[in-house]
Amino acid sequence: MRRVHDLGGASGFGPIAIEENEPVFHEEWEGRVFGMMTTIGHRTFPMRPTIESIEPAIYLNTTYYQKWLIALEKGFVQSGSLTDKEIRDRAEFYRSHPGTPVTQNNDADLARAAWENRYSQRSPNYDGDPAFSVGDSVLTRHIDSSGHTRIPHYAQGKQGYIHALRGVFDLLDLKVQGIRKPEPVYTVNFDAHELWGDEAESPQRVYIDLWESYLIKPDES
Amino acid sequence: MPDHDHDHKHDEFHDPTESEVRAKAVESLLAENGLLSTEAVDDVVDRYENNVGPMNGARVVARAWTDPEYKARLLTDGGDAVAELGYGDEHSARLVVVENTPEVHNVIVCTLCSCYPWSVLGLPPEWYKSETYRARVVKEPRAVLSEFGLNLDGAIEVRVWDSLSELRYMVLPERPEGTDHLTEEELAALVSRDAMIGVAKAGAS
Repeated sequence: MRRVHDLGGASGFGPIAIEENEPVFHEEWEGRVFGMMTTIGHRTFPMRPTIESIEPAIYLNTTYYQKWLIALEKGFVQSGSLTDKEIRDRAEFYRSHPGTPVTQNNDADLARAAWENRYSQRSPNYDGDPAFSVGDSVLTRHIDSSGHTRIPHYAQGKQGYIHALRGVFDLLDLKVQGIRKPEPVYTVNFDAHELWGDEAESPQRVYIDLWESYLIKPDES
Repeated sequence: MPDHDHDHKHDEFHDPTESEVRAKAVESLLAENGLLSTEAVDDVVDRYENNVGPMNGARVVARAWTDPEYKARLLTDGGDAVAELGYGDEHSARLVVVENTPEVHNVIVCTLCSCYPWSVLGLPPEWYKSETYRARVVKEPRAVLSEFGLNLDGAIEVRVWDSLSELRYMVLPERPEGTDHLTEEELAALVSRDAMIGVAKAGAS
């Protein structure tokens, strides 16, 4: 079933709220949250699944960096680094002592580690052959979305065409569980009518990067 | 726990929000536990507030407009091409650049979260990360683009790139008419962040 963060094609949303000359961070705390997440948060816990585990009613009623902050708290509590009570107590302290600065830590080794590459690179250890070639027709599978996956609900069970082979990457559905499964990633292109039926705007196509295990050959369906 | 007592100065400070005090709490605790370098957080904030932003992508676009061989490299391997101009980093290695033409208009989104080409555009605007944009642009891109003031001819094919894997996407907008006499630097000034996301055209401020 569709989960709350999996928003593509969802109905009922109003106009886009566009802000002219927007600052990078609207509040100082947003920058601190961004920095905490990108330096150590993502190394301590799987960031995206933690954000996706926020309850739907909260997810839809919080700002972007509020979600990141909730995920930071959850992630560090689940990893055992912090407790809910100490976060609550310290927050209460800052509420009643608004001018008190945060504790500084200028450890050079920690600072160096913060910039280490955190991304999956094209995996060098894959010796299989890609199952699909550019131009092939493919069908997408229905994937159990109770865990983490990168195929959106709107593109499941649909027919598309291989547009490009992008290289081999660890399947993120499993990587977030600590399991490495390198696979080819393809850009698949879908006609808007296949995705949205009669509601589609035309002419329109949607291009999505999909791991090989999300795809099957049409004659295997 | 910091032991300074600032209660008597309370009126000098604004009322902190819940998010602000919780962010301070988490940062202080992590710093005290020896897990977080607050200096590294300072550096990250400074980097994205001051050094990395859409001016990088604009220079890439202006170079592509003036140097056909560079443009060919950019469309073949975006990561290598932006690294040539000094914008190579861990994010740009997997950059794909898609070209707007008179027949095709491209627009970028991440419907599951907020994937965005940080190395060339900096951090995304609020609307890009919003539930509204993520829900709507894959299904009704023309309606969304018109809210940005971009009304496309009905014959133009709209291609929506939903960046959901480890790759990142950037749009190479069309060079505006009547700009043959401009220098590369003057051209870069015509390239907005929105043009490189695909919700605007270059030169349409």
